[in-house]
Amino acid sequence: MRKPFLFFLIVSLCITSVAAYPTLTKYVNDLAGVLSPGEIADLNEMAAEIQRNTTAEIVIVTVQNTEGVDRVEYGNRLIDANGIGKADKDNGVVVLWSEDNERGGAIATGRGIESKLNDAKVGRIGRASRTYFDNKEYYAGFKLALESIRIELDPVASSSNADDNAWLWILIFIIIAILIIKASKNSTGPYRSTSYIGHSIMSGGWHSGGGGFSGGGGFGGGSAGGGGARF
Amino acid sequence: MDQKGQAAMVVLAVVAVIVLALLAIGGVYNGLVSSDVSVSNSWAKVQSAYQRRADLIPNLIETVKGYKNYEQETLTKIVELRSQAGAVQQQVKDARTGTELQAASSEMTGVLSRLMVIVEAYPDLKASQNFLALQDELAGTENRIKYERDNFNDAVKNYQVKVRSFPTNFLAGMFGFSPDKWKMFEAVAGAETAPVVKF
Repeated sequence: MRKPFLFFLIVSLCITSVAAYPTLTKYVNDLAGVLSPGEIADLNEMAAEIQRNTTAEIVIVTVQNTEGVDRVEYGNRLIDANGIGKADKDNGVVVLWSEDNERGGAIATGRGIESKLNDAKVGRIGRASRTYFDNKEYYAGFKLALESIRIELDPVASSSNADDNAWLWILIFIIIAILIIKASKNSTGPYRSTSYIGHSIMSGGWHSGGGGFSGGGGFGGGSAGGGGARF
Repeated sequence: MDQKGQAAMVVLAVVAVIVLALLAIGGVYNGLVSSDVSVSNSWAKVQSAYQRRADLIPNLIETVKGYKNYEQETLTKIVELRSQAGAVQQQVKDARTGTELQAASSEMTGVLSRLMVIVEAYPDLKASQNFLALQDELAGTENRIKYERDNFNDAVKNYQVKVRSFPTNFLAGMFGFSPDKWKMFEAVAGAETAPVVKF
């Protein structure tokens, strides 16, 4: 009774262990375990910001090996299997690093983003990042790649950062202060009006930042055509 | 139940059966059409990948030609290669079958190899940013061709499984969907070797 059951169990496990491309989530997938949680969170935020500014979905993947498949092809298969990139734009990118089996990386590009991120560009970006990866500075390598990609996609927006946000908050604070002062000079019912103004601005102002990404997949359904370069 | 009632029931039952049969056959037909169109779409993408390579290589030759320090003889050879590449580019555009595509593609590979032989003699060209970019683009075209061919083969596989499976195979024959309509890419002797870029 037991032997046949075991036999079928083993056979079915063998069948299901055929190479399937891993399911990815937004935006960092450290399958090789080379990044720390802090680094993952940081890179995630960088990629989320790129998505907010350009709608392009840049996904970082580290794997132990690519199961004998060429790295660029592996990256493209990941894009297709997970539907990375918006469906109407096909603007998905996978930045891949493989630890074994010819240790190296690749940047795979979706069909629609190939014009902005052509093979020569991603090859250059990859080669620039390679020195970090060779020294096992994975975070620095991915960070450089992401930053370079961001510059290629949106040269204007790439200059905006936390400093701009700080100026915005200072400006808001000044406006609130002026309104409160004005209202307190008003003799009819000062307290109600100031607290009302203060409260409405406060509740409206706290919404920026935090790009709200859904966990577990949730990509746009984009596709790939085999493009990209290895490094 | 009286006789008229019974007859009506029988007619109703027959009509119901006919309608169901038509719906079922319609479903099978639509499935075949969908599969056929999928393969057609994949084929277009393969042609597109080959065309991309054919369009890119003449441009890359132009880039190489722009290098300042050639001897006159070398420059003449490069100009000649450029016009050869242009002719093959047209050949790829005119190709209608997989065999023609692959034949045109190997011609292009020949042009590329001859170019690389010339470039061998100029080490500072080989090390330049432009040339590294050229390498990336060349590798990229080969990758795309392989990717689209693999996708095409998968689409053909799905089509053939549909057309040859029981009981769809009877209907497929009737509707004119033959299993031989699409052929997968096979490795043609020599055409598969990517340009060997030796450095």
